Amino acid sequence: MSARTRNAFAEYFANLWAGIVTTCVGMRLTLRYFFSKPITMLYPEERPEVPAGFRGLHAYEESKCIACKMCVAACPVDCIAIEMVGRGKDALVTRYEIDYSRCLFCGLCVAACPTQCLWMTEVYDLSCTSRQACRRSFARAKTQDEIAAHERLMEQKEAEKKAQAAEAARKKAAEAKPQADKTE
Amino acid sequence: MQDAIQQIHSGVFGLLWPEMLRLPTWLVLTAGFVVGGALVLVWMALMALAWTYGERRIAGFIQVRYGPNRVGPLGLLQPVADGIKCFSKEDTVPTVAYKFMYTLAPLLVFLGAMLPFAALPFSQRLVLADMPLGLYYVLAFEAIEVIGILMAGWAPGSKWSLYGGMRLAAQLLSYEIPMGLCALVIILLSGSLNLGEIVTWQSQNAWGLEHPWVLGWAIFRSPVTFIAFVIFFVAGLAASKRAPFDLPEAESELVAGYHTEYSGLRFSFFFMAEYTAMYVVCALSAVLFLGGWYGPVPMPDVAPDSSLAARWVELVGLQGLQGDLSMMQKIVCAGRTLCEALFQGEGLRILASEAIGLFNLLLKAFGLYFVMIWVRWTLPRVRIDQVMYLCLKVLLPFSLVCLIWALIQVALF
Repeated sequence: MSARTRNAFAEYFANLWAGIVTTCVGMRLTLRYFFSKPITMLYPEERPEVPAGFRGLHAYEESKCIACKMCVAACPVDCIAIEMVGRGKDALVTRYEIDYSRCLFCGLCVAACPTQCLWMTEVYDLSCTSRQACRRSFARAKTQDEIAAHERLMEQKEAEKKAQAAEAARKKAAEAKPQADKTE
Repeated sequence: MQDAIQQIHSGVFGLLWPEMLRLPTWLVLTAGFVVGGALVLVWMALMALAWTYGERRIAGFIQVRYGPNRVGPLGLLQPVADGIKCFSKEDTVPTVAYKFMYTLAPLLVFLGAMLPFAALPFSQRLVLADMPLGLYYVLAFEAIEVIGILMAGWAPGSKWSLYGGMRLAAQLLSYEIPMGLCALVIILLSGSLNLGEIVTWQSQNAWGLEHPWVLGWAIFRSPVTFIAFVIFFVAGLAASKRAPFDLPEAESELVAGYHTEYSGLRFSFFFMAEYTAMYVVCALSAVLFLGGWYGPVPMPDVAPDSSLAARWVELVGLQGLQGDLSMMQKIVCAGRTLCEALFQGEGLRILASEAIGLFNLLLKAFGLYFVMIWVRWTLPRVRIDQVMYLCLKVLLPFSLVCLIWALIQVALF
């Protein structure tokens, strides 16, 4: 028997042995996995713990909002829509909608808000079945009467302001006239 | 004809026919075939249902996940949902297919999976037909499946199917050889082709003990039989097209192999046939090498020649059914005596022994079934040349060595 054939013979058995051993190793490994606990999370029943600083669904406090539209300006994808009656502390927000089919949860709107009336919660399951359902409304729904009443109030305030301004201007003018007379 | 009746008598259908009722031969035969076929069908459906679920669950656990667990408690109704889905699928036939062969193929495959059950025992007396050539019959009729699958590969005119069919033919034909040789080792040592006698051989006289319990099983009798068992099981894996030998239906290469073009009910025929063929291989390995229904749970002693049928016939005779009674009275009497035969004295012991035997056999067969699934989710698929290498250059020489050793053993001792 030459060295070459002897090597081939030995190689055959070495291969066979390697095959059997590696099979056993693999089988032992999978058997160990078989008896280990599944790592799958049964999602709707079990829920993952949300990490701190997670940016999920927005939360909005209407009473603090001054309808300054800073959030709208900050939004990179223009997904916030605001409509209001009046301005500043007196503003009545009639519509505050975020379109979650476009929102990228960057949090820039929250950073831009001067009154901290907008922040982000840990709610993340926001699936919806239509485009319309993706637009979430945050402001309380207002009745037509409420809006009309607020509009009247605003007009009244506006008118009062105008009247005050006119009064002030007249006073100013009245004060200014005698001085002017003096100088002349 | 007479032989066929004899075999049906000696099997479980001895129970169904007390000679007193004097039924015509053709009726007995037809009833035997219909009832036997129905039982086998029920068993096949159960196997497919239970093990699709079992396989998916086991696969899940091996991959550290859960598997199906949403339909019903623990996902137990998943196979029912799968079945409903399968039945409600559209039945399509490719326009270029050979219609006749295309239709015939799933039926042949199904038949090939069904026929071995005629001689495959479930327990000592739970055999449809206790044939003297039982082992030969089972191995021969398992091979019918090959023809059906070749037809399924050829008929639809699809390249995927054709590749699958050709691979299967090459694989099955070569793996039949080591499988047969390993069966031959057992035949030589036990001196019988009858599956019942092979189990009886395993239940007595080994290692100097008259009742050797587990030690009497073929695999513990000599190193040769142990190697033969491993070879037989590996060849059986290949014969039932299981991973790592699932080249005929390799999903990642051939879509689905030979059943690519089948859908709905026709596909489910292939599917059930596959799971049944796996059971046949497992049960046959258990009977040939693991002592069949003998051990690990001991069976109560029953006189070897006592049979429920004989007892029943005797009782019916004692109660004088020979006279002129109406058919209804005869049936009532037969039923009452059957209950007596079953639940009194020896009859009850036979029942207990059969139940334990069934438990033993199913324990081993399902254990092997689990190993098959375990192997599937562990080992990657081998290449076609590796399949041939393993068969012709590894299994075949080793099974030949086993055979020669067994020959020497039989000749010298």
